This record gives sequence, C-alpha cells and structure tokens, in this order.
Amino acid sequence: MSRIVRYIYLLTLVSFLFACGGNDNQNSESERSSNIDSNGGGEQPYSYWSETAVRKILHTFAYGGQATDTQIRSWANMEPRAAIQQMLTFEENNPLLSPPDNLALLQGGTLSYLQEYWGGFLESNPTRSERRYIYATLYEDQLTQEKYLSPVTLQHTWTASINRRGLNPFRQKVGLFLTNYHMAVSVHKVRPTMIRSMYDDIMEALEAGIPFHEVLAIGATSAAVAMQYGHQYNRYNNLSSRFYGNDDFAREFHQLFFRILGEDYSLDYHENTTIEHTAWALTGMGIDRDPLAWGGSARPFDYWTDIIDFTDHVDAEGRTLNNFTNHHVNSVEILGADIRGNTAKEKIEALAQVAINERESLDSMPVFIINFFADDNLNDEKIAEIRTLWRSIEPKNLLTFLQEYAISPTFHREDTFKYRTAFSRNLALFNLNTVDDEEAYHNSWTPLWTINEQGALPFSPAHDVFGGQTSINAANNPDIFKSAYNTAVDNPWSVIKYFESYPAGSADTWEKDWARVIPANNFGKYRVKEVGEWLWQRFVADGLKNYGPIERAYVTAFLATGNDFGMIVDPDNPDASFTPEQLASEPYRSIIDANEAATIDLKNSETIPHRIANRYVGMAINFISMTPFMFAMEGR
Amino acid sequence: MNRRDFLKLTLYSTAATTLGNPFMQALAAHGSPHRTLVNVMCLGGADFRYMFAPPPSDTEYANKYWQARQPLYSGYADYNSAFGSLYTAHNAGDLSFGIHNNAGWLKTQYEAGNVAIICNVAGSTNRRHDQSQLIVNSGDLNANQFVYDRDGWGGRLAEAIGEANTVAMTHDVSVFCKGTQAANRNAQVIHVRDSRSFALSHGGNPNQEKVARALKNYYASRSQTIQDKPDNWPYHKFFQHEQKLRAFGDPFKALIEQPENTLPIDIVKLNDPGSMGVLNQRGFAKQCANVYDSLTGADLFKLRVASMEYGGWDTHRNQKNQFENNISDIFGTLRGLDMLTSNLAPEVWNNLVFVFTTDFGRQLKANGDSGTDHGSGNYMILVGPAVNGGVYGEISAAGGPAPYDVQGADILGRTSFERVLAKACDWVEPSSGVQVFPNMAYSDLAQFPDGPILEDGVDLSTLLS
Repeated sequence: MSRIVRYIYLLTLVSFLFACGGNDNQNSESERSSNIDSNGGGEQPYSYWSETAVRKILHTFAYGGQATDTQIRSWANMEPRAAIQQMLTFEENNPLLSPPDNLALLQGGTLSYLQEYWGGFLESNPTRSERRYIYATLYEDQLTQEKYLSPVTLQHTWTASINRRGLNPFRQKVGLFLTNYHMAVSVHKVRPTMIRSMYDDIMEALEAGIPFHEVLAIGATSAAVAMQYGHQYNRYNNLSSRFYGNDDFAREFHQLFFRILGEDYSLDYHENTTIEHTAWALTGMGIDRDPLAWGGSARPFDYWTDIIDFTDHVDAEGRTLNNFTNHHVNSVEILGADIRGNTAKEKIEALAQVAINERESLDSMPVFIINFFADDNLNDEKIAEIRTLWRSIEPKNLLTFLQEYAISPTFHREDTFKYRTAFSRNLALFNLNTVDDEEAYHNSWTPLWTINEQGALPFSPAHDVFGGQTSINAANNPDIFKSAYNTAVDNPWSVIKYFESYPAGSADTWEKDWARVIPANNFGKYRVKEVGEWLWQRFVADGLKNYGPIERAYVTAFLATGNDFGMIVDPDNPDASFTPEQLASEPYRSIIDANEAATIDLKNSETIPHRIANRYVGMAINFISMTPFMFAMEGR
Repeated sequence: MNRRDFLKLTLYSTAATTLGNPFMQALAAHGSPHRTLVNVMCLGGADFRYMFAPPPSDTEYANKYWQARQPLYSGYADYNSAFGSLYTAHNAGDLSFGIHNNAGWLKTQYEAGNVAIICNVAGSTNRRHDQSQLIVNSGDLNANQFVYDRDGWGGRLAEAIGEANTVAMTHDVSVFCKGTQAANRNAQVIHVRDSRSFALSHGGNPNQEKVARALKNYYASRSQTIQDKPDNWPYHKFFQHEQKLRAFGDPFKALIEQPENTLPIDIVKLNDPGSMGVLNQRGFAKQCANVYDSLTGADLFKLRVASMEYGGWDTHRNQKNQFENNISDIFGTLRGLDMLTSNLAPEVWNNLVFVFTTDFGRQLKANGDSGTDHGSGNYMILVGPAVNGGVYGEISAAGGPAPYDVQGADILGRTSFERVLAKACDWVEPSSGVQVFPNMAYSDLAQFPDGPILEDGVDLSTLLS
C-alpha cells in the first residue's frame, strides 16, 4: 500500500472509529465500570476472554500498547478472533492499538521513514527541533560538524517508535524479535543503516503476508547478515573446486534461523555435508559500497550499502565484485535435498523452503517464538499445542500464528508466566505512563539508557548472534532488580514527571494530565480507591489478582497523601512492616479507609494543585513499577 | 540516611578497622584466605592452541601446525619470522613450545611453575555455541539444550562446600553459578556486577527516602505472605533478590568504602579510557575490580567460587587480531589478571586458582577467512600458585593427520573436561569433585570403560597441591 493511500485509509478508519465513540477523552467518565474485569455481557466463546485477557495480550505482545480503555473494553466484548485481528497487525500504523490525538500523526512506520521524518526538517515533524538530531540517520558531531552513521540514533528511533502514538508497538516488538533475537545482528559489527534496511525489509514482507520461510530468506540474504558473519567474503573457485571462507553462518542459518540442529541426520552428515554445502551456497555475496550512501557520511566504514547485487558488477565506489563468478555454480545437497540456484539468493530461497518443513524446525521454531514472547513455563502439553498450531498453518505465517496463540487457552492459563526483560518492563512502563501526543512526541526522555543500564540495548544483542537479553537472564539477575530499584528511589523523574518546559527554562510548558485517561466516577471525582485499582490494572494487568491489602495500603497512601504508608501510620517509626491481618485491624484499617475515600484533584484548574495531584499519581506508579508484579506476568 | 542505618554503617566500619598492624590490615583488606576458584569462561570457543604455538622446526607437529595455520600468520615472510615476532620459546626436556608475547603475565606465571596446560581436553558433544556453553557451564554432558534455568558446576561446588557462595562478577548470572534448588537457584549466589554500586539505595533527600522506605517496608511486609506460594511462583525471584541485596549491600558498601580498601589505581586504570592501561574490553576491567573488592569482602560473602567471563573468541575471521587483543586483556603484562593478582596479599593469591573454560576448541586447519571454525579438542589452562605447572598430555593435536589437512576435521578430545574441573573442585574442597561432577564416580576406566576419558599417560592427581 502506498504511503498516501495508507494515510487516506487510516484517516477514514480512525474518523469512523472516533465517530463510533472509540475515544476515551469523550467517554471515560460515563463508561467507567465498577467491575474492572467485566466481559460486558457479550457472548464469549472463550470463557477466559475478558478485559484482563485483552490487557495481558497487549502487555505481552505490544509493550502494553496505547489503546484506550474504551477500545480495550470493546475488544473484550468482541469475538476473540475478530478482536485479535484488530489488536495485532503488521501494518505500519495501528490506530486502534496506538491512537493519536492528532490524526496527522498517522504516517509511515518504517524505521527508515521515521529516522528521516523525525530527524528531518519538515514543518509537520512533531519532534521538538532541538531533539531531532538524536533520530537523524546521519549524526552530526556538535564540535567538528562531521557527519557519520551512529547506532545511537537508530536505537533512539526504535525506542521512540514503541511509544509514539499513531504507530504500531506490536510491529516493532516483532521487528526487535526478528533482528535482535531470531536473526540477530549487532551494531558492533554491522552499520546501523544496514540493520535498519534488514528490519524494514523483513517487516514489509510480514506486512505483505508472505510465507515465513521467505521472510527468513530475506534476512538470510541481507547485507546485514552477510557482514555480521563475514560471508560477504566467501567465494568458491569453480575451476579448482576450492572454497574460501568460513562456515559461521552456514551453521547458524540452520541453528538460529530455522532451529535445525541436525539431530535427524548423522553428526558427520550435518557437519560435513549440510553445513559445508550451505557455506558453498553462501558464496558470491559481496556487498556494494557507495561513498554517497546514506546521505554522505564522512567515514569510509559507512560506505557499506544494504545492497548485494548477485551479478558480476562494479559498485558505486568502483570496486569489481564477482558475485556471480564467485558463487558455487552447481547444485548442493543440504538437508538431504538437492538445492539449486544460480546465485546465493536463489539457493538460499530454495533452501528456506526445505528447511521450514524439516521436523526439527517444525518442532522447535514455534516453541522458540512463543518462549520469546509469552511463556517461560512451557510444559509438554503446552509445547504440543504450540507445535500443533504451527503445523496447522500452511504456508507458515507468523501473524496468524501469533494471533491464534494469543487468543488460545494455551496462553491464557494459570501456569503460563513470562518474566519481563529490561525491554518489556521499561517500555510497558513508558507506554502506559504516557497520556497524550504531546508527551509522546515532545518528551525529552526515553528509557533507552535505563534499558541499557539494565543490560539490554536494541540492535546490540547481549549475546551477539544468539540474541538479546532473555527474560530468564533478566529475572535471574539481581543487578537488574537493583538498578530498577535504585532508579525508582533516586531518579524517578521520568515516571513521576508532571510538567516539563521546553526548551528547558522556557515558559512553554507541558503539563501532565492524568485526567485525560483516568476515568472519574459517576460524581466526576477521582476517588483514591478507584484510581489505585485503575492504575494497578493498567500497569500490572492482572485483574487485581495481586493487588492485595499490602499493595493497597502503599499505593493509596501515595495517591492520597504523597507519602509512604509507614510515615502516615507512625512518623516516629516509619520503618514498620505490616501483616495483612494488622492492616485489617485498627488503627490501620481506618487509615487505609480514609486514604481510599480521599479524592485526587486531577481536574483542578490551578497549576500547583493540578501538578501535586499528578505528582501523587506518578508516585503511586513509581511504587507499582517496583513491586514484583511488574517484573513478570502470569497468563491468567 | 536514617539514624538506624547510620548506626549500622558505623558498626561495620568499626569492625573493619579494628585490626591493628599492617600485616593484619592486609589480610583484613582481602578477608581470610580460603581456597577460592575463579572460573573465567571464554565465550565463543577460544582457540587456546594459538597461544601456545610450536617453534617451526623439524618436528612433525610443528611443520604440520604451521602449514595448517599459515593463513593466520599471512603478514609474515615465513614461519620463523612469525614465531620470532609473536612467541617466546620454552623448552622443557623434549618439549618445546612458544607462549604468545601478548600473554606476558601468563608467561611469567608459567616460568614460576604456576600454569598447567592440559592438552586435548573436550567437553561439549557438538559444535554449537549455545549448547556447548550450557554443557561447559553446567558441567553436564547431557544438559538439555532448551533448559537454562538449571544448576551449574560452580553452584554445585558452593553447595558441596556448604557455607559458601559463588560470586558472579559478570553482567548476567551464568548457569555456572546456579544451585540445585529449583525454587531459588541463586540461594548461594551473590551477583556483583559493579562492586562500587552494589547496595539498594536509601535515597538522599526526603522524597527519595519516602520511596526507599516504602519499598523496603513493602518487601519486608509482603515477603511474610508468600510462604505458601508454590516453588515456581514467578515472583519469588524478586523477593529473593531484594532480600539478598538487603542483607549484603550495606555491609559490603561499608567495608569497601574504608580508606584502606580503596581500589588500587592499577586496577582503576584498566577501566579508564584515558589511561594507557585501559583494556580493550572494559567490561573485563570491571570484573577485575569486582573480584578485587569481593576478595576484600570474602568473609562477608563467604566467597569460595567466582565467575568471570570474556567474550569475543568466535574467531572465524581475522583470528590473529581478535585473539591477540583478547589475550592481551586477560594475560598481558600489566593487564587484567596481572594487575588484579599483583595487588592481592600473598596469602590471598596463594589461595586462588584461575580456571579457563570455553565452548569448545577450534579446528586446527585455518579456514579461508584468516580464522578457524568450530572444533572440539582444546587446551585447558589453570593458573595459580597452587597449580603444579607444566604440560599434561600430548601437546600436538590428537586425531591423526586429518585435523592438519582437512577443513572440518576435529582435534579429538582425549581428556574429559570433568577430569580437570573435578580436580580443581577437590582442591577447593576435598572430595567435592565427585559431588560436582557425578560422572567422576566412574573415573576408574579399568572398571568403567565408558567413564570420563583420560589421555593415556596423563596423571592429574598432582595437578594442584
């Protein structure tokens, strides 16, 4: 779909949806439900399908998303398959999952487009002018004015793309999975623009709905992967029948891209036929260079393009590349199949079609995917169901697989749980703590460096080609917990922020306004009890399952007073701890009741009281974010 | 800081400074010396054979080595000039080999009799990084390739010792460190990713203190309510982290902030980008600092096992540059381990043994990309004053002519990694080797021919003393 057609389509769609009442700003007060987990009375073929189930999907697959409460309730009331087809899409923009206040923000969503748009100087660019340089493809050194490619601008762009309304955080999470875990490449070895092209090409293919093995073949024949593994220099002398190169990617093509370890073959066959011949297939993949690539970097290392031209040719730098001549001309035997093709691209495409149907791939690939997205507690029963689902989809389609799994009982089980990585915890917190376009687009802060401090960074996978930080890594790492804890204590501004002047010190001030999204009750008030529950459900999404008396005491204390519960109870002994039994008895019960009955002045038109009210909400969120229940999520 | 925390810190400080004379201070600065094993996992499959090349000569091994590896030394006119530029020869009886000049500290330690090179060691059953690392870290040849939430040989060693912990100096806590308790694999693990920022914050102003107090009291309150939760309740881990950090953070902070426990400038420089001594991988410099500080807090931590890592050994391309940078960081004169160990009190250093493990060996024959591809048999290196230095086993490559001539052929493993590591465990804690590596119960090959293999003529009984 062209960008203009897409834009018109999206405008029409969103206008229709808004006309139907899909905007919380208009409806939040009247539609507040006393039962936060209500199904809304619709006929549900899936007994577990509920608002909480919808929220869990959004947390699991879209970093929480930015859908309105009204939209979430609407999905909860729909037939699950119809709902999931709206929730999880590969379109560049998903205005239901990420609705902007300003429909003009529904523009392209490729990383290339976003870097050009946010880092450029179009009048319509919603990014603050003094912040545009952090997104630009070419980073300009402030001292030397030297322009060069910077990994950081790509990393900022991806991080912001999760949060900026009008885009599609699910698409970006899948993009991260495919380029940082499944087919991982790293900015330590590959130019960021090459990774960006691989990312965009893969996502475009997914959006077009092409079979998954073809998507993997696009990654496998990309310039980024050729540089990452070094097979850009592999060549085969067809006269002497000698191979020159390494077998690194020949092994990982099978192991990582298709999850084939060779267990259905002898070790000798796998090592000396499948892998060796794959290395031969991966010959003639020299990458073009162009001094003017990417806008003209001053650094020769940036001349590498994203182009592999499989012919014999001269590139824009004047280098002769014999990609056709250097390719192994004959067919090769791999995985017991005769793989033919005149170029590496043709052979890899043919091989991908064989590999996707290998027994090991059919068994392991879907399990690996679900383990990444949704479940750290897979058992034999769940694995069998996941494999059955994958095998039932022909040709293999990643979107169909994820959609079907997301609404399946295999996911919505009590014994399903997923630990959050530094990505998933911080980005969900970032998304759900953003309340309007202005905050999303003008915010001076993204959690990129917080994520980095906690051991993860986009396009810089912690385990190189074996992928980024896993959820098990994150959960077992006390230092990540400590880092998050100390950030919440010492530097909580990003969460608690209730105003920002930009540029710093100017009178042009953005004010946080939680009233835009927190529903008032039937009396137009923001009662602490209801706000606390609403916040817990928004950030933890567990149907209040873990919002017990202790959580309630601390969250409502911050909301009602901006102080910690221990200090309210006894200023002379603020370090006391409490059992649920104590909290149910006096004097604690009365204190909690009073806090819960208090109201928060989120609608106050005076600046100071309005800021204080929003600050209290931020303090409660900051506290919620550090409970164990923001470090993992259960399936039900 | 509130009054109670201030008093606690004062108490820790007093305890740390009441040891009077300089000798005792040196001991205090590094805790009581207990035998301690430091596992340095070299991620990616380190080609340790490159570090110990034979001098070009008439020996069959040397000739074949240099022919097979010529592409790795392509910048030199001939083999002799390559060897002369890169290695220093060591002769021990009939045995002659070179140690790479970038490993100056290792060379010194070898000359002091503190380095054991065990030849043709193999662990992994395959050439896959992830599964091989899992096998080596877990110390289990049958490790399920999909299960990473499991115990490792370092964790089992700490359990065999009893009152002991494994201290992870690394970014993540590797499988090596983890224990056998499924509900809490970190029960005997302390994670010191940054020894100078290890504790939970108490906040520095009233607003920060509110949050710190709320979280501290919340966790104290809530942890009393989770006793009946099943072992696999996903949130246990975070309560466990909080409790461990709470228990060790402040005392450790108080200890290492004592003036006598300042990090030596030599170690600071390893991680200082403005210093000549800065390492190529500053993460390893940080780990060296973490080891130094953790040894200072060895009594508090009950440190007996430590975990370090160094990545970047997957040298399919340009092996020479990459490998030489790596060994310079770890083994170089005035570099990582040199700076670390030379700043330790003798009693502490005498009780340390470094073990270097890696995914797998690499093929002997160079590939067509100035590198080497995945293989099997490798050298394993142990360093420390307790090590009885020397070469254990046949220094040439096992497996006949194929490893020299055929790309894709393995150097065979003739000694199981369990044999070597179990000996290291036994040194740390007598009789622990068989607990940590249960296959060692079948080590008598006469009785159990399928037990852990051992190269003919090799005796590891005196590897450490």
